[in-house]
Order: sequence, then C-alpha cells, then structure tokens
Amino acid sequence: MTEPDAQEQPQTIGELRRRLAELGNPWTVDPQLSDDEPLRDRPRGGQAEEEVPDELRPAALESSRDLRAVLAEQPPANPFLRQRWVEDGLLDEGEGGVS
Amino acid sequence: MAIVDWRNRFGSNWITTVRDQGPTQNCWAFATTALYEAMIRIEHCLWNWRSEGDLARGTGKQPWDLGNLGEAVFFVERYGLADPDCFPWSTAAALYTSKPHGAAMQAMPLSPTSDRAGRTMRIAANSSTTLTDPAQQKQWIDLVGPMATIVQPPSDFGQLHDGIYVPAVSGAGPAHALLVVGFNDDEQYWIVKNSWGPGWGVGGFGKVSYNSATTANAGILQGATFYGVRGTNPDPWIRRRMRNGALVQGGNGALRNNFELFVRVGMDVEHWYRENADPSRPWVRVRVVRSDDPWRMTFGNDVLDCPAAVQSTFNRNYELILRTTYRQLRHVYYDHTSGWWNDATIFGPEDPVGIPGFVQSNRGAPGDFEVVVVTPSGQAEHWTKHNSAPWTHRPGEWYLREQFGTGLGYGGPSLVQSRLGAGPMPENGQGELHYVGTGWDGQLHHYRRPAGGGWQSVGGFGQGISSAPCLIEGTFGTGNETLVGNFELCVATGGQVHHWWRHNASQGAWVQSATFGADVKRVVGLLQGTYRFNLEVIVERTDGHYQYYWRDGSGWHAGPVIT
Repeated sequence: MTEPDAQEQPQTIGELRRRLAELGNPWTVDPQLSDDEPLRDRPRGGQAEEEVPDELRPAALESSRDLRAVLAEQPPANPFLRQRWVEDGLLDEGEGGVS
Repeated sequence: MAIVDWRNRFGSNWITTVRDQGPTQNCWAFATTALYEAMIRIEHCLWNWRSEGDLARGTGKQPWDLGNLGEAVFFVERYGLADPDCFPWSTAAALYTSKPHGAAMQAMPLSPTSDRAGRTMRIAANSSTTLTDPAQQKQWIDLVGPMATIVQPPSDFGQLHDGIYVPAVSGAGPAHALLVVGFNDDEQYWIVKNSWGPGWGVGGFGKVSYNSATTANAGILQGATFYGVRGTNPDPWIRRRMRNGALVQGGNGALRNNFELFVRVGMDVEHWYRENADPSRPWVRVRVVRSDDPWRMTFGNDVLDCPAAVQSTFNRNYELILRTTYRQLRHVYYDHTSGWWNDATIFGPEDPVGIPGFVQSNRGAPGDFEVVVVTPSGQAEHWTKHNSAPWTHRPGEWYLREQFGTGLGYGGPSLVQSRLGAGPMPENGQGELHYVGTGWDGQLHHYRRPAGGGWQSVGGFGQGISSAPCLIEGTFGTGNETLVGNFELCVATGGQVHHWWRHNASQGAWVQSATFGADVKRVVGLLQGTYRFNLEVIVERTDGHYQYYWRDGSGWHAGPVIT
C-alpha cells in the first residue's frame, strides 16, 4: 500500500474504486452503487475531543496504571464472562460461572 | 488475546440491532445507547431496546446538535435511559414536557411521561471508564464488553461495504461516534457498530484497520478515547415478559439482580429476597406485607392465597393482586418513595379461583394493569385498570373487560403480554395477551387476545393436570431484541413439575421437555433470570412450604425449602 494522494481526492464512486485498486486497499464499495454516483459522506454529529468542555471529558486511565486491578474491583455477573476471568486469572477457579 | 467479537461470543449474540440516525447529527446518542444496551445484555442476559431519542432530547439537544460521549454518559448516570415507549427516537425536534418525577430522579427537570423513573435503566455516577491505550482498550473489550468512541474518519468511510477499512483519502473528516464491539489481532482490525443503518458495511458493522496507508495518519481509531461502562441496573419494564407470579428479579443487591419473593404464610403475604451476588446465600425474610398507612390500616391478616406480583413502571413499585377474605381480589402496592405498603382497592369477581394472572401492559404510559382470573363458574374474566390516557374508565377504577373460556378449574399466574403481534419499537399498545388455564378436563387451555380484539382459544395440551400453570415469555428462540422468545410453562402434576415450552416464532405446538421435583402442589412463580439464561421456579409444596428449583445447562435442580 502507498499513501493516498492528498491532491487528487476521489469525487465519485468510480474514482474511489480506482483509488482503492491503486492502493491495494482491502475493502470494497457497495457493488450496487454506480461509478457515476458522487462520493457522499453521511451524517455524523460528534464533537472532536478538543471541542469538548473539560467538565464533560473524564480523565482517561493512565496507561501505566494496572487496568486489571481496576477491573478486579467489580467482577461481572455474566457467568460466561466470569469463566473468562478465571481463565485470565482475575477470579479464582471456584468463582467462575454461578448456579 | 487475539479475537473478540461480541456479536458471536460464548455461543450467543450480545449486540442489539443496528439503528439509523437518519439525517441528524446525533451519532453520539446512538453509540452511547448501543453501549448501554450491550452492557445490559452482557451483565443481565437481557435483550432490551433503549431510546436514542430519550438520550438525545433529554440532554437538551436537537437533531442538528453535535454532542459528545461525556455528556451522554453523564446524562445516563444522572437520569437513566428510558425505552422508546416512554420517549421514542425521532428525527424531528422535540422538547420534553414538564411532568413530576419519582424520588429516585428528583433532579430531572423535564420528563416525557409520568412514569419515566420506573422505566429507565439506571447506573451509578462515575460508572464509566475512559481508556486511550490500545492494549487496555482490548483488555476491557475482552473482559468487560464493548466500548464507545468518537473518531474522525475521512469521507470515504461512508462508502465502506466489505473488507477492512483503511482510509483511501487523506485528512480527517468530521467527528463520528461508533461502538467498538470487538477486535482481531490476527488480521489487525477493530469491529465497529455504526448508526447508518444496515446498509453500511456488512449489516451495519464494519472492520477498521489498526493501521493506515499513510505514515502521518495512523488507523482512525488509533489514539481515540474509548468509553466503557459497567454496573447497569435494568428496569423491571425490560424484564416484564420474563417473569410471572410470586417471583421477581429486581434491581437490588450488589449485582443489581436480587430475587424478590412474595408468598402467603398463614393469613398474610411475606416478602423474601435472595442476594444474588452470592447465590449460595440463603433466602431472607424482609417483612410481613401489611398496610403501613396509619390512617388506612385496611389490609393484613386477610390473605387466602399467594399473590401475583408485578414490579411496575411506577418508580419500580411492587404491585400485588391477591385473593382475600373479602371474597374478591385486593390490589396493594409498595411505594419505593415512602417505603410503605399501601392499599389500592378491592375488585373482581366474587370468590375468584386461584392466583390471578397479572401484567402491566404497554397501552399508554404508565401502562394499564391487566388481570385475568378464573371464576367459580369455570370462566375466565379479564379486568383492566387504566393508568394513563386515553381513559375509557375513571382513573383508579378496575372494570370487567371480557369473559371468555369455559370449564376452567384452576387459575394461575399465566397471563403474558407477548411480543407476538408487536411490530418495531415503540410497541405502543401492540402485542397479544396470552393466558393458559387448567380445565376441569385435566387439560391446559391456551387463549390469546390480539391488540384491539377479543379473547379466542388457541387450543389445549397436556392431560391429567390438576393444578394451575405459570407462564412466561423467555428469550430462548431470540437472536436480538426485536424477536419473540419462546413461551415457558411450568405446572404441577402428580406431585412433580412438568415443564412445557412453545416455539413462538413459528407459533408451533406445545412440547413437554422435562419432569422434575417432588411433593409439589403447584407452581407459584417462574422467571428466566440473569444466570446463563437459567429458568428459576418457586413451588408450593404439599406440606404448605415453598421450595426453589432452577434449570441450568445441566438440567433441573432442587434448591432449598424457603419457608
């Protein structure tokens, strides 16, 4: 794969298909769309991270912190997941699936 | 760790159906709703449909307003998240109307229906965790569940069909929220649920590469903040079809899934519970159910039978219908705000037979109360109390709606409002009522009532039966929240319990699957609970005591005698 060329953005479905082929990108466009159709984005609506007020942006867990210790404070109720926790060493053998 | 996909994990799907945000800018409400739906499913084995409209408009946002996951999570932690019959998703602008709220959510300034507090999933404050480290994000998705995120994919993201998405154009696009439901380390991609309908990606899901074709721009999820939540507390409205009779699985307890039990002991009803964070712990008696109103000491020491219980949308109150020495049915309720048991009214036929069938239906919000009870003449009577408009009878008044059936000898907690006949959400009064009673001929007689229609016979099954059944609509046979689950029915015969079921998607014949137990007089409670989709049963024994049974993957088991 090579870098997409910022100077020649595809404008139609056909141009995007050609771009994907050139780049060797491992995905396809809906085969029902014709090459002539314009490339249209879809509605979104998210606020970018930097636009979110601080009070609505909870501090992320530091990557240096042991997530396993955080998880262990609240074991799951789901018995399948409890078994997965046993396999992962987060729960003791006897604390696996319930009833 | 290599591959996690919550769409197919532990042999089941845990992700609700893909929705469509339409032309709105409310992706953040869809991703957050999908997150809570998935976590209720994972933490409680419950299919549920929450309303993106409740979240989007509840936060004060309109269809054109951008949003973020922080405010969406904050809203749900503070006010809960209601179902579409409380406030549906719409692409139109809307404002909540001002209505009073229950004590649990006093701070909510605006509410779409008067019972919103009783039909919202709840979750404690600070129940979310945000992660930016990909290794931690994968660990969370593996060990807890899906995570929501906001990313800025370029415009070609909207054209993804099949394969693994790698941007083919440069630059970032507007921000967009997604639910990450899995990942594949072997092939280096995340699995995301989008809100652009099932036509995007494959059925609305897409694979997004960890990496990118550009050196300047890593994979679109690289470095994004992922939001995870846990500790969901689903409302009783979600569980209403999955339980009946004396047994309720409510939201109390460390894992928010305790059993609550209401049984007759002597001439009173007693309330018992089991702490389900540790199912090996004993059943505990809470109290005798008697009127707590000093000005209206109208009930107590007058109970002839076990009650039919409902945990209603009235702030999750317990509502009981029971036979009394007044020779009719009495409706009493526990008000969670005051902590009091209160008398509602006496109604119904003279000398009713057995335990009544009792549900809160979805006609209106709060939904009506519906009771079906057998009379000494062998008929069934259907009684209704409106809880909201349109009022055809006065508020608070129970009225006889219809008589149906003949030759019925035993009535039990076997009334269900099914998903049969109900279309996509909101249900808005749709869904058939189903009732099964035991005839003098020893057969189980199955009746149905389509919305807006009258009761009609479906057919009979079984033989030699001399007790009343208990009926639920469980989740077996469902692959997502839109489908109808099977009927499960337990009835005592010859001192044992017979378990019957019906495949509701095909509306097939009733099939008897198992016989279990000993010294059983009748079944008074049945539910499909949190644990591995187990069935949980309460029986009244021939010696007058109550015993607990359950079915897991290895079959039926006898539990303790409770009281």
